[in-house]
Amino acid sequence: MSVEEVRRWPSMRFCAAPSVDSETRYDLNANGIGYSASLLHEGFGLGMPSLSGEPGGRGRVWSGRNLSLPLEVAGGKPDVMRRLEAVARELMRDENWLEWQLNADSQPRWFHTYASAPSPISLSRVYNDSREDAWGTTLSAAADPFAVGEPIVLGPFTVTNAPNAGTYPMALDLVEIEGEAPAPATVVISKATSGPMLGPSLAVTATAHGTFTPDSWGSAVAAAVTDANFIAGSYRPTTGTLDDWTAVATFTPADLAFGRWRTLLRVSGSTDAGSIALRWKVSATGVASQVYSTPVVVPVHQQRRWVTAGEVPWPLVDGTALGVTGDTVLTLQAKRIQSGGELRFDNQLVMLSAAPEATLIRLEPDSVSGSSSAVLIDAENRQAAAAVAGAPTRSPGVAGGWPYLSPTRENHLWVAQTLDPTFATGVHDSHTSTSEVTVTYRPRYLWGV
Amino acid sequence: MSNLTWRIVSGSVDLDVTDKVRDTPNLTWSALGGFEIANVRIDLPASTFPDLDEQSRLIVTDANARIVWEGYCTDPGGTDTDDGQAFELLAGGAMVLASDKVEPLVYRDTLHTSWTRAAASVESGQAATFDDTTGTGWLIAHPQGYPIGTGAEVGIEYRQLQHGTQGIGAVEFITQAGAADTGFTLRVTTYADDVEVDTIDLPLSTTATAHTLVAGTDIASGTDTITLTLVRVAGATNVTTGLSWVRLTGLAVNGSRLDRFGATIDPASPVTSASVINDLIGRGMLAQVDPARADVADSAALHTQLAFPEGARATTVITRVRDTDPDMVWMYGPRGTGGTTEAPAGHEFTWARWPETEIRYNLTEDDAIKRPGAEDQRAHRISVFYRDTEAGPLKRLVVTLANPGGDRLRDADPINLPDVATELDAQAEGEAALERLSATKAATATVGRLIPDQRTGYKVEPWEIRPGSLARIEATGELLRVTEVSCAFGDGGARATLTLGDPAKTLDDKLLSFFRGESDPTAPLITLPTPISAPPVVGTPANSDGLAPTESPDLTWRAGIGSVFLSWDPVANADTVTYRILIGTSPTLTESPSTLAGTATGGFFIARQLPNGTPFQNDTTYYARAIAQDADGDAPAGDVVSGQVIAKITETEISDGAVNTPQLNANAITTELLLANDAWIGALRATDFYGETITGPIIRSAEDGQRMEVRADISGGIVYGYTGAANEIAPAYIDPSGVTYPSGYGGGIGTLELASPDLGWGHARITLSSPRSDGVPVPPKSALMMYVEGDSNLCPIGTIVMWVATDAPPDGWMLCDGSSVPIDYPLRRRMTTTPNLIGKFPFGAGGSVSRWSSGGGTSPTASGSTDSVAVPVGGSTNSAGSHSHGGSTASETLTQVDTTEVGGTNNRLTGPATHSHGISSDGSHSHTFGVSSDLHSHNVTADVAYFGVVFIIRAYW
Repeated sequence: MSVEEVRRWPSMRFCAAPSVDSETRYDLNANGIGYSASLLHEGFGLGMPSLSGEPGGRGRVWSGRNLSLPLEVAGGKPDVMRRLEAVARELMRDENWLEWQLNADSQPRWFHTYASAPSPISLSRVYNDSREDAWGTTLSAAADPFAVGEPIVLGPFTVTNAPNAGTYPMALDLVEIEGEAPAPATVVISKATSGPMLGPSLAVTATAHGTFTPDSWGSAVAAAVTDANFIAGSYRPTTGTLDDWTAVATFTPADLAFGRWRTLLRVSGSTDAGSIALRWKVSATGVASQVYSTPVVVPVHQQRRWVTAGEVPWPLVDGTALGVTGDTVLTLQAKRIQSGGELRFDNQLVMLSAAPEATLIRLEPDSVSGSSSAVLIDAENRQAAAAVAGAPTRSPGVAGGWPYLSPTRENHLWVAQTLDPTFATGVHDSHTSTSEVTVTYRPRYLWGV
Repeated sequence: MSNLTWRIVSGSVDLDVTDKVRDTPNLTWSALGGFEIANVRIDLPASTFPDLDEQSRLIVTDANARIVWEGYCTDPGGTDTDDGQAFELLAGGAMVLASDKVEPLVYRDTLHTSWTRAAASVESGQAATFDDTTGTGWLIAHPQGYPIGTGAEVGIEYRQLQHGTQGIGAVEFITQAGAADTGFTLRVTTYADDVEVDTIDLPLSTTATAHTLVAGTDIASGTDTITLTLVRVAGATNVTTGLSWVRLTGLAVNGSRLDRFGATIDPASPVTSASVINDLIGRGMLAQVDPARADVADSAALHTQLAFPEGARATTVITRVRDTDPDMVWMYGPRGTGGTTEAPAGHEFTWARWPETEIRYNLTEDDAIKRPGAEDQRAHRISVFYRDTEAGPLKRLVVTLANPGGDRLRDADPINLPDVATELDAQAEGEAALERLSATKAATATVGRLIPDQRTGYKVEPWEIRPGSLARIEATGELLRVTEVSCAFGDGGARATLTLGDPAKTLDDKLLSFFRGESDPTAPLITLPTPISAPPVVGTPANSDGLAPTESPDLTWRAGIGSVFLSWDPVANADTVTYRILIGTSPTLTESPSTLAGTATGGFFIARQLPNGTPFQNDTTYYARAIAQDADGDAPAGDVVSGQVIAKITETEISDGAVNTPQLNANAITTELLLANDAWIGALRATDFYGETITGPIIRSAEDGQRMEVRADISGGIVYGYTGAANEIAPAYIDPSGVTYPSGYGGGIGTLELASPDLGWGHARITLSSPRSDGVPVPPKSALMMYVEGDSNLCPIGTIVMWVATDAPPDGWMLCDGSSVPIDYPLRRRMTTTPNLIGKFPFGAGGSVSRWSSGGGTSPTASGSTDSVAVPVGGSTNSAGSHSHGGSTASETLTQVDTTEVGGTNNRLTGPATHSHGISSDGSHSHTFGVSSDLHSHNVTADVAYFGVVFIIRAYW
């Protein structure tokens, strides 16, 4: 770090939270701890996080950084020692926030610091007979890898719980994400109208999801039966013995990049008994070879819900280099596993990116009250909370990846109220309901300025 | 860390601990078991999870909510570090669930040594194993020279399933007797919880005869013990001849099996690996597996010996199954979705064959492929040194792998057994040592990159690589099995170490042993109990107070379907009491081989057949009594009880007499379908309608002498009744005020009255009341008896009258026009069609004209001609009026020509040519005469005055 001229800047204070309005624990500038020559001292540095692992390796993590802040405390000995004592107390807190603002033209940043050993005090400019000594030391603090900025709130967005209706049909794009590094987001999904969210799920993907309807229905299902509870206005029940794999429907997704896709279907059942396995046949027109996905067993249950129907590679091969877009066909096949009722299919297929950079998180709230409900997904603190009718419930179980927003790619947010839920009689996914989605995040900065 | 979410669910705490995971956590997956081990340090005090125990779960998911690893914490769930601010968590994958339950299991037991000698009723009885050139099995005999009586038996028993959840599924054996002696039988007896259930007597033959008895078909389901005994069944007490023996070979027992949803399958079906795995799932031995999510592949391997009567965990069973089916792998998968909060969905489970050609991972030089050293080479043979006694000589046993796969046999270093051991011990130790050595790895590889999954085409993370697949080493082209994957998450990122080669056969056992602290996971877990009660042994009683029981209990008869449940209160007695149960068809029930149904030591006995093997019939009364006995003798027999069994209704048709009950409850029989099809109940028979209400359109019985008809669709109703022999009909009469049935009639009708006397034509109602007007009570089992006729306003069914009105006949009448009589009309009982009297006069039948005969024309006016005939006329005169005729003839003289010529032509008279004769009167006489006319005929016309009416016949009331 080169030496720069400063006047009142940089501003540094220990505070209780990463906010300009937060309680000041110790303001270094206000207490005369700064730089007498209006210059940053040699050795000043905000440190840098390091990235572990080899290039291309998986599971690489950013390690913490070490702040190195040479300080000079000038004044009478009792006063200086009092101020150094105050600094030492802040350094020894288990966790602390150091607000740092370079100058008036820049925005404050906060470093999340942890207790660490301070450097020795330099007495080179302390004189026995002087009444104005200049005490020197270096403030060293371990901190999280990235500095954070002021929180940014996006929304609320009114998201319709159907992939083909409303301004935000189960998804929205979060644009102009600030910062330099992927930042954890806090997402609140709230239903003002009554109705449960039995299995709310949230995905953040770099590639937009696709929504498709069948090109044709297969012999595994019977004719459509009118039912307004389905997005199609009707459902297709399974039929026949389904002793072997039988086609349910054929889809030809388009405009999706090569990759790994999670398939989602909306189903219910004629009764609460039996099970049917589903799998996908991924094939290309005119090509004999095909790929079958790992079968997924779907219990027959009357609850209307979204279910994960497995993952597929789509298209069959990456045709980018060939200059072809391909005409890969997805055929949903069914096979009965356990005798019982019939599975009922809506006509919507949602394909959600399952690429390594995508995340999907599922909550398992055990409250299914019909009153208004809300869930909070806090990636920063890796915790989730739920409330029903304005009262908190037990923390829901969480599975999956917490939502992060990246400034370097698109951020598609996909929201479902009921995905792979626990079963509850009479509790259904409503495709006409809406939820208010609010996203809050703090930009993350590598350099800290 | 690596975008994985680490979550601990313990009691009420469900916490994401990802930020608290420190050091280098490690997750392991095995081809044998699936999720195997997790070792992780959590930077939280263990007290954060106050309920952390073996019920707590560690769930690791990736960023896309896929389950990466799932398992259960060890107990006590974790170990605190020294400062108490962190704890080490060791968790076992879901595979540990396979070791939770212990059950005695017998899938197929072909060891004849699994059978034991049953207690014999005679001391002389013999039962011994043999193992010679003729085979292996048991020889059961009543040796020569011993006096035995009827009922004497000796045999063997199979008790390996006595204390399990399985029952006996099928039993196979081959019999060959010394003689086809009908005085003996091979008796098969099954028991459930010490209670005899089935008895089957098989005849003896000198020819080897194979038998297969299947539960649910030949023997009852749910039995747990079976005995095969040679029983003396006929003949007086005598001395055996030496041919009273039977050889039993090919002994095999199949335990009952379930499919993975818990339904019983055919126990005689082949014992395949898949059927065993499905049974383990259906039986809950593979705990928390969702049967709908279980993928159990078929395989052709059959198991001829797979029995664990001393108890086994599913892991032990699977290991044994894999000994026969070594290319199969089994893996627990993650829990499925779709369960409820109270009953979460079970785990996925896979029993699959190791792929032979499908390559999923292509390993390159980036993947740090290493090969093991020479010390890990497979060995095929080993020498085991042991002593079978303390001071005995050192013995050597060479143990060789059954299938080394080539000519080269590589010896492992020999081992010495330090303690005294048997040859079997040495064999087991040698096999175990070879097994350990054969578990070596062919190679290892470490993957720290996204690696393409060749099956799907997309790249997967290192922690998504799964064992049970094939990997190809690019440099050499080798195809190796991925047997184990262990992924470590360190500072340098995530690295999965793949173990390549053959799987370690005892990996699961070793793991489970590690978790449970068992030194020997295959050690017996259940000690078989002593045999159940058996027929009494004749000889010196073991416990005797010198006094026989003072009394035998009185039995209580409870009818079952085709069976009877006899129960009693045990008698008080110092010695152990056995009860002999006698059952027969005679109320005079004395003990004999034909009445001795069996013995029991408890307080109940179930019988399905007479001692001679005849199944109980539901319409037969049976008698039973008990005799209590102890070592000192018998008590006087108890009272005889009697009863019947409940009919067993099978198929879609109820056979004659199938339902025989003193009471049919309301709505016991409904006839919607019969009514809908205008059908009859053809076999309803009751002995007591007294005081009962019979409803319904029509109820009929067509049996002579015991029939009854009720028509409730006509006002008031009409009841006909007959009793006694056919046609024994006593007349009754009706007057408008109601009548009393004639006294002295032998039936039982109470009062008969007109229900609608104002109508005057005969709707009547019978009231069954007692006593009758003559004071005689109506017997409780009176049949309805009524016949209506005589000078009442009623016309009997079948009465024909003339009807001149032009409208249709009145109710109850039909035209005599030959039409069909509806099936529900009483007239139908007498005729199927009405007489066709159109154009006919009735004619009194009898003599030359019989009933229902008819003839003549159809018009009252008839014309025609007589036959064409000739009329002869003849006669005679009378004899009065005698008369004479006058005149005479001319006279002539005759002269003899030559009197000497004898015989000549001249020796004749000659005379004049003319002479006369006088004529005298003839007296009175008569003359006859005859004349005949020509053939002729006459025209005839009959013109009868007539008036047209129709004949109608009384068809119903």
